[in-house]
Amino acid sequence: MIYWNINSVLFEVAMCVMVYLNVLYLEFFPIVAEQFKGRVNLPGIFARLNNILETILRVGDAILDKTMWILIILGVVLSWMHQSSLGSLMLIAPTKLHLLWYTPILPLLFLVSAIAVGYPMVVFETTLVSSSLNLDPEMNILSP
Amino acid sequence: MELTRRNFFKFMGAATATATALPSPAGAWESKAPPDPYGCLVDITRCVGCRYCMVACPFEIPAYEYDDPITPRVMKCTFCYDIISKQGGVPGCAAICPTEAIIFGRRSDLLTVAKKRLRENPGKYIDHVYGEKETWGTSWLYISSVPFEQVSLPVLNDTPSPRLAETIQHSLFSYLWSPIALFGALGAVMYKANGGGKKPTDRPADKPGGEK
Repeated sequence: MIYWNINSVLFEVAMCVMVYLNVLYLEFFPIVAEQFKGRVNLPGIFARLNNILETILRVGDAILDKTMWILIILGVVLSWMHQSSLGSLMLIAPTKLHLLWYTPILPLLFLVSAIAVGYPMVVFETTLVSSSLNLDPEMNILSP
Repeated sequence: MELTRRNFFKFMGAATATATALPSPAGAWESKAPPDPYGCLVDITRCVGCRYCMVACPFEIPAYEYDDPITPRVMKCTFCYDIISKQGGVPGCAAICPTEAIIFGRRSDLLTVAKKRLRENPGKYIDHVYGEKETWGTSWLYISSVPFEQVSLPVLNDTPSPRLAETIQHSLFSYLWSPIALFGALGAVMYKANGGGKKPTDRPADKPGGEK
């Protein structure tokens, strides 16, 4: 049975996060494909899955190569939706919220602060990855 | 003395369905007996345990069974639903009250009674029926000789408390117009940034792992 209350802010947040998680999986798929394509070699009784997995990797990679732009934009849109809705989540309780935050632009404030945290997070993650995997720092992304 | 009794009934309070039917993402809250609502019930089979109703309720009525770690349920006064859904049924609290401090009936009748008491006892009560208009009207109505804030009844607007969030949600997301517009705008930006036509994934800079 489906019980959807589309008026609920929490419903929207939950939906966005669920869809977004799947988008993230798909965005990560090419990396998995790059690693294992043409090299799937499972041992023992799993060997019969080799051909199927190979096909999934090949076809999936080919499809995602053409459609990745959709997922990239979708990832941004979904993040915007749930990050802003996390703000409206609290507007349901005016008596429990400090008066300073009980404002219709609270979703916008949440979104702006999420964007503000997003860039440092990318810098942090890039630094972490490039130093731990001994790659050159990706200065072409960081520099203007 | 009076305070404790009122505080006890605070915990049994039932807000009107119009105000509280909104929060749960799974639509677990059901209003009963329209058009003169007697409060609302939780359909526990739909409840996903998000506890958003506990955030939403200004009277802090829904409570969680924190003592049960595996299958806790959200609990709330049922207004003796099984009893009052029968003809002439009166909920336990009103049936047992020896002084008719609590009475039960149709909301419109109770409002008349409350206003009559206020009119006939000038100076005894604060001239206000709490719950008549608060958050669009609650199913429990109170008259009191002490300020309502002293008995833990918060000062509330006449609009239902989820109204602002609902308005924002509906104006932003009706027919998903804003996500679609954002998708279009970002698509256009991406198309332009890649010199038109060229797929963004063709650029080496977009490939993670960064070959220089």
